[in-house]
Amino acid sequence: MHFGFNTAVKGLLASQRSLYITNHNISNVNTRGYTRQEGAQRATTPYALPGIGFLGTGTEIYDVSRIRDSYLDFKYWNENAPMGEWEAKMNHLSEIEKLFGEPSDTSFRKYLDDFFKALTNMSTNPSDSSYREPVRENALAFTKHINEVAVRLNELRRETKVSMENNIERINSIANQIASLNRQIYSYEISGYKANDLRDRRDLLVEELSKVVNVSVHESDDGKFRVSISGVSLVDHINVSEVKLKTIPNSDEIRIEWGNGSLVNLKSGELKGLLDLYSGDGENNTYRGIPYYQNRLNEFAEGFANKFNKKHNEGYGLNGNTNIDFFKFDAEKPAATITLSDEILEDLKNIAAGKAPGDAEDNRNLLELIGLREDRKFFSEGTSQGTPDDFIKSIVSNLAVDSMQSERMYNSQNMMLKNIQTKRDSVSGVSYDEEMANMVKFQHAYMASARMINTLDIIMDVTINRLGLVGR
Amino acid sequence: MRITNNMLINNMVYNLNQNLKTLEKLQYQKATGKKFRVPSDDPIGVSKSLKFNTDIAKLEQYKRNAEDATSWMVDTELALGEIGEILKRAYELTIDVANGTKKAPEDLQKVKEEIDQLREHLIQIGNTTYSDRHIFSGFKTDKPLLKEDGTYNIDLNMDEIFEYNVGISETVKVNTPGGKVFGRGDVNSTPDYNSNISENEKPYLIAVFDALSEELDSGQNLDVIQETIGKLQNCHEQVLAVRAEVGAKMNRLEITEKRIDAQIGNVNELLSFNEDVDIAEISIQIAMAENVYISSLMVGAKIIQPTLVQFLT
Repeated sequence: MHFGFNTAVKGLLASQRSLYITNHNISNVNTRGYTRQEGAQRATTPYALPGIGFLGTGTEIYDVSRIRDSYLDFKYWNENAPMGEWEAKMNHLSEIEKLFGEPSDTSFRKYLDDFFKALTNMSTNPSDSSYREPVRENALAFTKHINEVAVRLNELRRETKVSMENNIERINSIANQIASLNRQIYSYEISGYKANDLRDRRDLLVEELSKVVNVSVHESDDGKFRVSISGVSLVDHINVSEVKLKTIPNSDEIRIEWGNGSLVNLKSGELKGLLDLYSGDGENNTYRGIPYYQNRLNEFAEGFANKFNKKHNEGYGLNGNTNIDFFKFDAEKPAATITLSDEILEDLKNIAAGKAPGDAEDNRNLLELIGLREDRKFFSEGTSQGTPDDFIKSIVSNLAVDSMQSERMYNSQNMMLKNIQTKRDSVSGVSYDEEMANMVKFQHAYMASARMINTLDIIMDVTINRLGLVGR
Repeated sequence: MRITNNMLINNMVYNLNQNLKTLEKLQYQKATGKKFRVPSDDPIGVSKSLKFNTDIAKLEQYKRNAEDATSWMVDTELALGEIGEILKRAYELTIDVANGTKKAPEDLQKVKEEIDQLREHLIQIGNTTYSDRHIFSGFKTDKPLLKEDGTYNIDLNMDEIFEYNVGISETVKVNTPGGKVFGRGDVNSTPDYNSNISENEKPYLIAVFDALSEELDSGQNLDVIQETIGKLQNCHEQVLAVRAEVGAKMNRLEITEKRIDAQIGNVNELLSFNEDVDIAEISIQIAMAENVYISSLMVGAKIIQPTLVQFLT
């Protein structure tokens, strides 16, 4: 008699557990990284009745598992790293673009235009200091603009270093969290069952990590979980090897190292993007990062000042002074320090307009100075050649193309991630409709099992209370 | 494919975001009237704009230079015109004397006085200024050309001609060195209008007047006065020649100015074509983007709302 009771109770319990699983799924519908769970149900071992066959003994939930496609995870983590890299590059390059201020009224071109406009204007009246004043003012504005861009580039570079430090901290913190989760999961899973929700948490951490740095993940058959960066373990089961940022003394170079001092081989990820921006000077096939633009700006400031000074030295000021520099700068960091020479700042008469001493209206040297702007050999060494305008244009074009590329890469990477995410949601996401249908299903099963108990109860009532009066 | 609620929500959010992005970009374009705001929006377009803007800045400055040069030349021409008038008057007076219409000593004295006045006037004109610059003094515009006694005040090289830029490697010679008009050399020799002048030399033109004045004072040697007529005529011809030269340059400048105007127009047009949005087109695009955005909102509201939850009691 109890046989039937047991079967019914098993059904009751199975439905109840399935309802709990449904409940858990619905509760976590908006949990990041949550994977829907499913109870695995099977019939319990049947009871052999000789001469009759096997009598079913009911049902059981023997496992609760996550519904997840590990291939999609693998894909997601792989594509997340390039996205992080290009996102960092895109953000910083667009900032540099704003620094150069093209197209706008605060661009290099505008300052250069104004300076040469003032020079040209002065050439129509070189004897009048009210025509000389604008030359000095506009030249000063031009050099100040170069200074400011140089300083802001420097700041931007420092900021990327701070970002890198933050990222390194994040990597280490995530690595430690993964290691402690590994320990927990490993000890829970000794029983043979999967620690679903802890695994979700671990996967989420890996996902977060995969944006910062390129990671690969391996889980051994005995359940030991390893996260590595380009083949070197970051987390090996419960052991963590931390990474660190090392500043090379007496230089502004930095390295990202393992604890033992060997270089971390970064292939992609936000950290790689930041490192490229921090140290890429565009030479030897490296990325055109911030140093590239700093170098170009220095090259421009130095080249412009030298060329202009050379011609200016040939001329004579209103007082007959000659061999005067127009610009001055510190050769260590030309762009940050370029300004007007003391002579020009002190006395407007020192602007060397003339070719001969003492003549007020002599503007021949000034005309040659103005002519420099059209000089196709103004910049004749180095990476880009041509007039000062050509030089600026080539910087801006490089920047534009790089920035556009980073944006495109980011967008396509983002799109790819979005597709994988959709697929993952399709597999692992919770669907209300589904859960509701399940709920109804399990509720009915539960009710049916309860009804069965009721039925058995009636049978027993009949058997015990109503059959004859023997023993009463 | 299995579709879950979060997929729908994520998709909707993503699409809304994309639509908003398009809308934002279009609205920025409409608000600024420009196709791009950072170089990466259109690298080639931006580098073109860079050039066009510089071209316009240069052309505008060239135009200003041309205008400045023109006003300088207008003043030069006025001065030359006045010199011409003086020479004409002196010529008339001298003719009167030569004809014998003015014979009485007091008449001659009057003529002499007028000639002296005219001479003074000549010196004044030689020192004409244009915004405080002596126009005939070559590079030494801070110094007058002539001293009060009529001699040259400065050393003046005939190549002291300054040029203004009125185009890329296109210049115009602006000033006329005084020697071209006043000349140098002894009154009895042929005037020299092309060689360098040194300080304290007496200009030929002044010398002619001085000789005339002296002659009128001392008596009247008709021969000398006859000769003076010829000299005055020659001087006048020289002035006219210089004037014609200035006039020709002014004509050229006028043409140049017109050409620069046309160029500015052209470049502006190119610039506008390169970076300005077509307002009509952009308005239509915005209207379309708005429609798309609104319908995606509507669809989203419909899609997200119902699940089985609403229908179970």
